[in-house]
This record gives sequence, C-alpha cells and structure tokens, in this order.
Amino acid sequence: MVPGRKAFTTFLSRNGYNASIVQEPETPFQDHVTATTGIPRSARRPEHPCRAQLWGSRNYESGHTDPSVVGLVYVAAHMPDSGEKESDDGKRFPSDLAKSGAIKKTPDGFTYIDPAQFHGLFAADLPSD
Amino acid sequence: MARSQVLHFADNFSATIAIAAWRTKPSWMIVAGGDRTINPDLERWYAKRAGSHTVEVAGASKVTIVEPGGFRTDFAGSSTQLSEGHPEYDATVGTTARFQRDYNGKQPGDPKKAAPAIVQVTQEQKPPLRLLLGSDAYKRAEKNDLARLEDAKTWKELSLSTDFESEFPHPARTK
Repeated sequence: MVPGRKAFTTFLSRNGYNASIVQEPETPFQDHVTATTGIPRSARRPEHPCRAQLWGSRNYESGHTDPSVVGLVYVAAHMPDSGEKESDDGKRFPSDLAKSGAIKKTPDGFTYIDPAQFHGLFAADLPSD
Repeated sequence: MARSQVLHFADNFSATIAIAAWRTKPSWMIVAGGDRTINPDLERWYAKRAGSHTVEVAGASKVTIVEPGGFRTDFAGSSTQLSEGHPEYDATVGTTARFQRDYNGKQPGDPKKAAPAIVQVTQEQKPPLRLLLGSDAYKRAEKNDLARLEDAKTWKELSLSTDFESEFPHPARTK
C-alpha cells in the first residue's frame, strides 16, 4: 500500500507484488487510519505499507494492530513514537522548510507551501514545471 | 507542481500517536540525503531509534560534465561561416579556418552513438563527474593528465617538504 508514488507502485506490480495506492483524506488524522485499514484485507499478499510524503497514519499507528502488515517502509518520513507528535519531533532537527517560513495556513485550518518557494523546498531535483 | 499541491489539515501535524507501529513490526527507512522538507538528520535519528534497516540516498541531483571530442554534427560545416580573414592573420585565423573546413566530416565521433552514451550515465547510481566521449577526447585527456602527473612526481620531494613534520629537507630560506 503506497500513498502516492505511482512509479514505485508500478515497479512493485511488475515484480509480482499486489500494490495499491491510497490517497488519505486530507482531514483529521483518525480518518486516515479508517481509510487505510480496509486496504490490506483485500490484498492477497502480506503488505509493506509505505509512508511516502503524504500522511503515514498507516505506518504511524494502524499498522500495529493489523496482522496482514508484515513490515513498514518509511521513505524520507517522520517516524514518531507512541505519545509523540510529528510537529514536536520536527523540532529535534528543524528542516529547511520549517526555517523558511514558507508554510502558509488557510483560515479553515489547512496548510500549504508558498507556491513561489514550493519547487526549491519540496522538489528541487525535478524540472520546475 | 506548486499549483497542484494537496493541502494538509494543519492539526494533523500535532496529532498524538497512540501506538507506534514500528514498535512491533520490522521497519525500513529510506533517508533522502538532500531532503529539505524533513531534516535528513531527523530521518537518521528516527531510524537509529527504531533499529530500522536503513538505506541512504544522496541528494537526488547529480552533475556530469560531458567532454566530447570531434563529432560529425556538421557543427564545423554548413552551420559555421568560415572566413580566411586578412592575409596578415593567415598563420593563425587562416590556418584554423582551413583546418576546420578539412576536418569537417572526418571527426571520429558518431553523434548517434553519443546520445545513448549520455543517456546511460543518467541511469547510473554513481555517474562520473566528467564523461569523455570519443577516442580523440580520451587520448587528449590521458596525455594531459599523465603529463601533469609526471610534473608532480618530478617535484614531489619539494611538494612534501612543506609539512611541519616532513622526511624531506626543506630548502633553506634565501637571504
């Protein structure tokens, strides 16, 4: 189960794995856990959920209880412990993004990266378009 | 890309994790060495704490300088205007112009072979900083670098004599 990451999923499928892509709802955390929990039950093989740049609720939490989850892969990801918050862990080693002031917030409580700084901070190794 | 970014629910950044799955399941961490969104040192710290199998990927951007020899791209032919110039400059400008005209079409390099060679290094995990293309480029670089090495060897004792602790005698200061 791979949030986003189409190329990676294609690679896994080609190598005989049953890979699914999950887009977690960009709403409260518990929704992610609910949304991703049903996925492995429909998969034939044991799964390695992969926490990509999107929310890793599955890896963070719900993978603990699901017996079909045999391993957890964190791709450049947060890996908080029980009782921790991702935002607090981030303060241990602040990122360039955190220091940039480029994280903006909408009035209804959603965050995004200032489009003018997005490429340099989030995808500097990709073509700018 | 910036315009298609998906907005995140802000409170999720500060959601408290009830049970960390990595406590009970084997885990893998892929550290992005050039990550600017999450500090790579934090990714390493997480992986160490969890005892994860760790794979480190260096910064994603890699640079290769292609150093080609002569290739039959018609660069020196119809795409260049050649002029003999004034007779006073015949020994330099004239000679160069004649060389270019005669050399065009005789370069050893095949452009159709150069392109896939360049594509190949883009697929390498560890591409070279410099990629020579063509036998002429290779021979010239080899000759140049060997000459430089010979020079270095000739003066090696003097080069090494300037360390605080050196087995080689340092030349006395001239008055």
